[in-house]
Amino acid sequence: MSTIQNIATAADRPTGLGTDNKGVTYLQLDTGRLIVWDGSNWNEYFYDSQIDPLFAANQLGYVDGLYSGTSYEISTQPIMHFDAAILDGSNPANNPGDGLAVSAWGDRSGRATNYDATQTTGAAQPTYYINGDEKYVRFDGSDSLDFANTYTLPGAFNVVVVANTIADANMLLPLGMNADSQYVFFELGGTTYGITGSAVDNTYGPNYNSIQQFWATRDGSNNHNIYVQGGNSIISKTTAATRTVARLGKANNGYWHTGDIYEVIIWGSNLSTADKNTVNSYLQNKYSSLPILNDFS
Amino acid sequence: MKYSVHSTQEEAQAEITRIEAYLGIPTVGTIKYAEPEEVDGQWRFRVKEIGPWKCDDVAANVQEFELETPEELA
Repeated sequence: MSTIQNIATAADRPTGLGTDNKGVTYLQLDTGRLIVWDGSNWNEYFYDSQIDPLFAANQLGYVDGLYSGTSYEISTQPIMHFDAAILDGSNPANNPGDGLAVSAWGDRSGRATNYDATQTTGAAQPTYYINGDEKYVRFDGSDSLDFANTYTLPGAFNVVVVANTIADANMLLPLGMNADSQYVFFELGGTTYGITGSAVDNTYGPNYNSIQQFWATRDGSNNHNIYVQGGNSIISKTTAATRTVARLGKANNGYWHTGDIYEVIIWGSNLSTADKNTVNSYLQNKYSSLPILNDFS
Repeated sequence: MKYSVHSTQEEAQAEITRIEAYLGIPTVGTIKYAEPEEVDGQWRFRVKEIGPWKCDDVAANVQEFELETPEELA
């Protein structure tokens, strides 16, 4: 009778495996998960099911989306939803292995318009990483993924991003527009910018070496805010500036995000306070290393 | 940030072609390695330092350049 061998931690995983070793399996005792070599990378599975049995219930749910009727249900379907835990936008079982290049990040919003983000140039493709339960896409400062279709933000919009920069000297610029010198928000050298150059904060950053959460919002009266870690407003400005989102990881004129992007969600409206707090609860539950997210009020 | 730097566009493109053969490009989802760009009279292309497309250790004339900072916002 054959049995699956145990290893203590990820450090004990054998090295030097190749395609001939496809299917090699261990039980990793510190996580209680099966690890299976797929020919190029290790994939992790819960011992009692193929994926986390609460995975679906823990997703952000909305009508016509990939998931609905979940523990984190909101009333407004996003325009775009990029979730590194479901990289192709349809099934987490299709996620690539740790360290592989990302040529496409699928939108999982369920919208009819194709907003999938792709990159066919190898030197500009970001890299997929798995750190325990957290999945993210690392942009090294020359990577970007372009949307199949651009989207002009209406008067009222919400954007929420979970991302970081690898070092304070790097730029946090997860979402790029279709025109030079236009942004929704970015941070560099301790200054956080909102949708225009006159919407600036110099008090919050730089502290982006760990995973952070940002909201960029505008309501129906052109009141624009940048929030960090939930409902903490650091920028408040009235502006009707028009912006068209076009890509992940790069501004139109060649300035780049250097760091990890976990999730980006864009709505073409201003969510209710209850829905914003539900989104925060979903993200707080999902990313254990996020700082405490304060409620909107 | 590392680039492979060349005197002419043709030299840069030839090096890209060599790198593509080394890395097995084209492949699914990836049709080319890089596009050469002209900067200060030289032709260069970015070389990856991590991931499956890493080639900073095999590309010719690899040089380090500083990141640029953004211009004033609109």
